[in-house]
Amino acid sequence: MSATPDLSALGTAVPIGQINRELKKLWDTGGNAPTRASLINFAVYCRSTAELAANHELIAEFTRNHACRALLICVCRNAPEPRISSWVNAHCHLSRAGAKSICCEQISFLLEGQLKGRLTNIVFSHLDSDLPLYFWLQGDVSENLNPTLWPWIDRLIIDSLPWSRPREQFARLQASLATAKATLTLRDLNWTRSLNIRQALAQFFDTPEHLAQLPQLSAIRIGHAPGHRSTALLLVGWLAAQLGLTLKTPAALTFETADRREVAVRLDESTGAPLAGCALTCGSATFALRRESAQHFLRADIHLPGDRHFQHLLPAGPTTALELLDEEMTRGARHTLYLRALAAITPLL
Amino acid sequence: MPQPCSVVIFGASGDLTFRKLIPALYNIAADGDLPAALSVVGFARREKTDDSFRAELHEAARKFSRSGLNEEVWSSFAERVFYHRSEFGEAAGYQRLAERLAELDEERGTCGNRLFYLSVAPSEFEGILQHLAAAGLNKAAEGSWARVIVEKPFGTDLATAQALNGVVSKTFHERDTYRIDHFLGKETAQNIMVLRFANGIFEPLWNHRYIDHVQITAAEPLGVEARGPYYESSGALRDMVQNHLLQLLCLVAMEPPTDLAADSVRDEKVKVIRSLRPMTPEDVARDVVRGQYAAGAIGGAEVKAYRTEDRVSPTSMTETYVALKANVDNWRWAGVPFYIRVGKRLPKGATEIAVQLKNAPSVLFNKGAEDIGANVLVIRIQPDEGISLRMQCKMPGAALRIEPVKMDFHYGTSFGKASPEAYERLLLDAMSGDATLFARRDEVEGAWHFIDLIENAWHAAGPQPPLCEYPAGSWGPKEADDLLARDGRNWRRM
Repeated sequence: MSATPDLSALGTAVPIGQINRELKKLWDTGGNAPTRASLINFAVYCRSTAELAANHELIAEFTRNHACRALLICVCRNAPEPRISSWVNAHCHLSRAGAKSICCEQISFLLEGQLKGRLTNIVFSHLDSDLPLYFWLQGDVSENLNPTLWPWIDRLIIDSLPWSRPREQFARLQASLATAKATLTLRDLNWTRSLNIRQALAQFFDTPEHLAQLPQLSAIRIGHAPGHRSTALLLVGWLAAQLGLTLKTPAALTFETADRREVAVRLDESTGAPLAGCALTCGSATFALRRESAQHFLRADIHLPGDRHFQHLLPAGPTTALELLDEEMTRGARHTLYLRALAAITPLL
Repeated sequence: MPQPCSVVIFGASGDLTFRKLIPALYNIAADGDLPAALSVVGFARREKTDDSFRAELHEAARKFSRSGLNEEVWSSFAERVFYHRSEFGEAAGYQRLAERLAELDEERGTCGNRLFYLSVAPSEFEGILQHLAAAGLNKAAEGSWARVIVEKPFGTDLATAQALNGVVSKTFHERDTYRIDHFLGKETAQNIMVLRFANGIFEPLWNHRYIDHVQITAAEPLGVEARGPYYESSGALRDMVQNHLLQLLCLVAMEPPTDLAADSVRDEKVKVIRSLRPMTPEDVARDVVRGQYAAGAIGGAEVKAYRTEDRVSPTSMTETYVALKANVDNWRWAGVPFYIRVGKRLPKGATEIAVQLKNAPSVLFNKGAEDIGANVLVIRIQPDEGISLRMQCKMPGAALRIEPVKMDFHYGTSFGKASPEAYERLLLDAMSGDATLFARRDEVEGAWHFIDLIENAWHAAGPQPPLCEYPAGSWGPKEADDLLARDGRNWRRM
């Protein structure tokens, strides 16, 4: 059985020079023409045909809620012969009213072998004009993208979770960001994984009584699934950035506050949800969040001095790639806080 | 419906005849807009018969006609097509042409009306015009007319344009001279005036108070192909900016004409040309970027550098890319730059005008100094003719997130019928005696005056502005981005 995935689902195979003509044909269907919708250019860059096929499936679902022109780009540099293949397709869904078919274009590219300089031209040539470009760079940042591409990207989406040498990757990414335009927003899906926990932690301290406990923070304990240490570290980085903690002893995972009190961090690995929970110990008070693997909720437990105990449930947030992307599309924040969080934990990566 | 006439095409063996002129005439016939009494005479050097000429044209019409080919319509049209073999410099050939046209007047009722189409190299213009005059073909009998259509390039600088105009004006009246710029025949170019002057929403905003700047782009992925020798003597500035792009600039910038008569419209366009701020050598060094494509990739394939193209000098200094900032010094446009860029081997083939409005104050949305994004009205000249308007919109959700959205109008799908090709409209207008969409002598000479200042600065003795290299398949040299960045602006994403 061949390991090569079936790429016929990508749509109609077309010579690269005829993509625009073929796209036009998709919409030239007479009276009951579907409505083409696009609010962004969404480029997804991957490095294997299996990922390309998976991205196609993902975009089919993604376009239910996010109208875009999708550019799926797969670069397989190790192929023996240089070759470029391309496909056009449309993902159509009935509108919420159920009366109209709303369609989004997808153009897929497979670049095999050593093909220098093609990627930039492919992106430049197939953008829907005047709309933002979101670029999802899957996998490592190890291959330097052409610097002329960076100023074109409005939002760069990465996922630092699978990175093998994250510190090196982040350094390369930050160097590239320096050449990008000032309005580029960097979004890390690994950071998005902790979004709901961060929001829930912040909510704990909306109450003045709870906030009064925070200066006594002495320990942070985070549970994470195997392979999700970096997700947990980013959460630590966020806490450090927001609370003004600095890393004191990397080996012992010890931070200190501005007034030089120690805060011990412990990361517990166990099977289950990517982030299984987070507990802050502040003197005799504890603020804990826990997520069971099959649950869609976070259980919040608050223990306050005087043996007072409160519990409530909060939404657990996104975990799958589609959920993470959905979440990303609803957010417009810049990456300032993310970079501060990253700086706080860089020696631990 | 135009009057009966004979259309004589000089250069009937050329590419333009096969790809554009005959398919255009055929399409006009298929739409029922050609007068029954019309004959088409191809004038060229090669040995052909009427039948062999028709057979070649049949193939071309099948290939290039926008509406396909209906054999019945073609048969009827082809009966009116003839071939006349002659050297361009052979006086007897013109005498024979005069006799043949007189015969066609008798046989086909073309009433002595003649439309001469010069689809030949500019070096042939003078000889052809003199021979037409010698054969008496430039003068029409009482009640008839004789007109001439001249293809670009109309001169290579102001002096040659004036000389050429002198030759033409000795032979034909200005009112009978039609200098063709096919961009003006495009539906969207014609629509610019309608968009501006028939819509209450736009005209009040169409000035320096509300418009930040205008970008006019003509991009093409093709290289010079087989036109190396021509391009070497022309370059992007003369080939595209002097005619097509300045014409588009005029349509965007002109004042409303008093009426839609040809000279009323052209008077206003000439005023714009005269308002273009002349460039000093220092202005050229600062506000004009010239570039030449290096090797790169287009559409997935490697392409070679301009200097290694067929019949191009390996040390060529010819520009294949130009970006410039023009200023229209009049009341309406004071302080509004017009950025023009044109280039070969760019990622997309597109000619578009983008009118970018001034930003709304962003203070309400906690954006501070951050750019909230401008409204942009885009007029697409080719391909996919149409208009789009980019505006800012709140994304659904609890958070106030602002993103650009685009309202889009496409000629191709909105009216249920295909737009006529530019040459169809222009040929019909010339047959009907409507010169509105053709350039007048003073327009052409004014445009050359503006362009010559740039060319002179580029080729003057002493230090010259650099020729910047850009990889084929990119959007041009970095210096072109810097040209706008200096003003706090960017080329729009196409």
